[in-house]
Amino acid sequence: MTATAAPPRLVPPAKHRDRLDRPLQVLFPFWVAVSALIVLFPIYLVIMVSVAPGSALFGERPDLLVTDPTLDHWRQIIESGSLWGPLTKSLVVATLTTIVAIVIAAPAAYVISRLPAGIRYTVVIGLLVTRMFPEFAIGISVATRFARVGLVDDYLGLVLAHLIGALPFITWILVGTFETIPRDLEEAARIDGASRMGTLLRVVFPLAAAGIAVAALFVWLYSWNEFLYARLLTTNQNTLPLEVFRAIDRGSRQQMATIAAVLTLPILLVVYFLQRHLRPGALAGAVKG
Amino acid sequence: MSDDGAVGLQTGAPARPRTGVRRWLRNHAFEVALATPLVLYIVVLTLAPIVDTFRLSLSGPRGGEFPTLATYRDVFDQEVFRTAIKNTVIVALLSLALELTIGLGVALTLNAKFRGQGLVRTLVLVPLGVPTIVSGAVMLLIFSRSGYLNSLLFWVSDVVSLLPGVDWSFQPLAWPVAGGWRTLFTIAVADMWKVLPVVTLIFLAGLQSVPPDVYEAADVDGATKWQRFYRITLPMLVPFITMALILRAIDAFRIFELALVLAGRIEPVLATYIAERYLPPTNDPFTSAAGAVVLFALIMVFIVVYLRFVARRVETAR
Amino acid sequence: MPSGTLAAREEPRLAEIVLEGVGKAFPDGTVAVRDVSLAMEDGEFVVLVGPSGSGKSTVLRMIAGLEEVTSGTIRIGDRVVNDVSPAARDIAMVFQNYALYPHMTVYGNMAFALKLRKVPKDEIDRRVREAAELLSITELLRRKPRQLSGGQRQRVAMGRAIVREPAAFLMDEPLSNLDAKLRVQTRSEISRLHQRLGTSIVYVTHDQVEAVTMADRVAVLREGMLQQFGTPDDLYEKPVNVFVAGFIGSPAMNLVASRVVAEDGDVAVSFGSHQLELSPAVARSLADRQGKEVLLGIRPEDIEDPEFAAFDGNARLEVAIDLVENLGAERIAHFEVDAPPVRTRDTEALAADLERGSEGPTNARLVARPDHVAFTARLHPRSLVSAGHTTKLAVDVSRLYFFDPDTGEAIPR
Repeated sequence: MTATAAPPRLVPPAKHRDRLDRPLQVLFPFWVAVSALIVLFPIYLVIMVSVAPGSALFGERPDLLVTDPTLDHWRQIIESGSLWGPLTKSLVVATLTTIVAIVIAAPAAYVISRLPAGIRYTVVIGLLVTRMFPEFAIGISVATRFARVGLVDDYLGLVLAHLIGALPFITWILVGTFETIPRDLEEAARIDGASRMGTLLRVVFPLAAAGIAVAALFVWLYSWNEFLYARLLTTNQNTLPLEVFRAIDRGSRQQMATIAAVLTLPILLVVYFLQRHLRPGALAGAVKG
Repeated sequence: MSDDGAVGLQTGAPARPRTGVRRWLRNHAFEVALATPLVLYIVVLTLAPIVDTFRLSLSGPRGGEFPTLATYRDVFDQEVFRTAIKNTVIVALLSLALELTIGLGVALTLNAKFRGQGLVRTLVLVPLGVPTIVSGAVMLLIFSRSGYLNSLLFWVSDVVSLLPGVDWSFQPLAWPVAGGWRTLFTIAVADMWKVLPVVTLIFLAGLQSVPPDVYEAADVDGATKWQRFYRITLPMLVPFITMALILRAIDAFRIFELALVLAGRIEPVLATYIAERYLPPTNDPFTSAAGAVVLFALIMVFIVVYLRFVARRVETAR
Repeated sequence: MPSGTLAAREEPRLAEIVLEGVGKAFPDGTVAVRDVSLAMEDGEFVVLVGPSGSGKSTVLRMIAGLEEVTSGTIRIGDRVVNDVSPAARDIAMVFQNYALYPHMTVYGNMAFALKLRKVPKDEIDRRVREAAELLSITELLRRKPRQLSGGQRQRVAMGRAIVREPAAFLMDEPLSNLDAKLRVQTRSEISRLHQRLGTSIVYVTHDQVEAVTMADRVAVLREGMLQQFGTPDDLYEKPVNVFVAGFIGSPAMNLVASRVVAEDGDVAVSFGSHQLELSPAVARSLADRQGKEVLLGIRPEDIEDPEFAAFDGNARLEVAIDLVENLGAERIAHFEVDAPPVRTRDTEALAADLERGSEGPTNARLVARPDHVAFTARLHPRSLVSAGHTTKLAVDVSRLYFFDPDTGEAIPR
């Protein structure tokens, strides 16, 4: 139909595939820049507000630039000591959750990855279905029970709760990792004289190390950010996200921004390290099953 | 052959046919031992609590008789609950629409080749690193009465007022607490910002899964840019759109932190309703459990409807 | 000095591998191997060959201990190894994809098995370097597998097996990932290695050329059953059935349905418009089949341009030549014969194998018209036979093969 409208080109058009048309070409950089700005603006805000003097933020037109930055709020928060409790709790819980999650999920994920394809697929879907339940559907019951056995306001209780969300997810990631390790490597190891456990420890896990590390970072991130279970299972000692919420509820803007910055900065680092593994290609396999 | 329904693991000693479960267990002791902790965990701390929540929701108010639908009748009688359902659906659909269109736009942008592409791709990931609660806090900074959106709108109204004949003096708004669509819109925007990286990554994966020679073939066939997008890119993206939509829908219906921070009690959603009922001072796990079950049902209905009707129609329309 | 390993090497290890009625049924019910019995001698180079799905790899994996044996027994030396772990079977294996450990260096790959067996460090070092020397990969020892070419990886995989000093090497299509030229070269290297080490090798391939060029004895498998086990010459000269006859040899044997006819005491075999008179010796073996159908097989080299025929007799086929491929040292002539093709399970299996693109020199058969069979002949390089002409070709009637049309089994000559 369009063959008549578009005269056949002599030059193969392949090379121009990704080039946009003229008007778009001019506008394109602006569009990219504006999107990047929109994405970055909130981060800028958090940091800016956390160092803004009290006067700069009020009135109907708050300033977008801080001319006289101050570390008062940071000093205040650090000196008041109210930061250390939540920071420690968040750190310890996130780290413990990560370790336990890997220890439980990695061996199981290996077994799943070696199941016949049909069963493997069903199991993985089953893992993801647990995500369809609202956290509350699990959390309410868990919190009532934990309250009875004294696991509220307890590091262990929160670790156990975070594992609920973390385990299916990292098992899923790790199944993908282990699937990429050829079986004949295991067979070679068995012929070379390794036991089943030896094969796992000397061949399979070392090869999966990168994937396991990525999964671990994801779990750590999840636990560090987690709000809902923390809310249900906390009466006294807040985690950092709860502390942010408290500041939103009662604190000044600067306090809120400062705690938010404390919570966010480590994560930006983690994501920076993760970005290499957040390639779209890594997801393609997951979609196609 | 597998008369006992034994599952032969492909590695390790395969099951011998015509033997019992015990034989299978002995052959697969290693695998069973490795998988047991996870299975136990999921049974005890995921499946059992889910069943328990259903049980709670079917108990009478304050834990009376069982089973009864009294608690459900109770919650549906509450106006705040009905509002919560309505708000949840509106926020979910709104944020899904925003996320998918903008996510697709950003993915298309990032899929083009330009200088600094790598840097921009990294930047787009930034919201992934921002805790949800923090993005809620930031949205407060932006959308509140003395927030930066108002600041921007003031600036725009100043500029516009310079034009002759235009008289628009902007009245500052506290968006989240304004109630109604403004509040819900704020929540949806906040959610969109937060999950943009995930949606973009999924779409980018889809775009990159289209082999370049398909485009080349379309070019040779004389397709215009729009036809190329509509006839090739979009159809090939369908599985990725489905995946993004389902993943996001599950989360969008469960939206909690952002709604809590931005809307509080002004515009309840189901999750904030559930939390409010459960936590002190209400301390009522029964209505809270009923709310959780309703939320689950909502998610299920959405996914089933989508897969049964929408996805299928797109499939056949191609 | 390591007492364990040394002792093991000093006492003569009999590495005969004996399979008795071995079968393999998978849990899903598929039967990969049924009732295979094979006795391989110590130091022998045995090749298991067959089209895909013949169960050859499963047999090898059962010998290795990677698949459980579901019936029958496997002996290595004087030990029944059915329930012995792969590690304790004293065998080394070379995998199709080499299965090199990506996270270890070449040295680490070769030393891994010895380390697991707690062989002392200096002994490991000595053995790894010896093997590396033998395979000329010494300069690669510090590299990781991903830094190696396909051919180098293949050598490392061999090296990893050699350092074990096992009683037998098991090789699962070790050459299938190499390009054609490298494959031929490596083929002869493996043969040389076998002569030098004198260790038993069980080698799996789908390529019959590989099988007959390397093996002391070849086991031909089809659909999980052993068809024939013998020297390459045996298989070529005395195939037990149509399948082996068609599988071994390249270009493949020409097969056609024919009838035994007797005229005035002369016995002939007729197919389509052709008739070949048989020598009295051959005629005798067909004595009880007069007037009946038999399957006739003619090797392509037994059909020749009469000008160059090295054999006597005046049996001729008058055919229209479709195509002549000039290979330099010979000319392959393709033509059709107006007789129905042989349709048995055997020939259909062969045809399926051809379609899957089993390799080997020009085995490409031109598509025959219905009720026609494609034939090939290997002609003398200076033959003037050319495409598009009808010509008479001489047939060596003393070398015809006959098979029973019902069972596909060879009729003894």
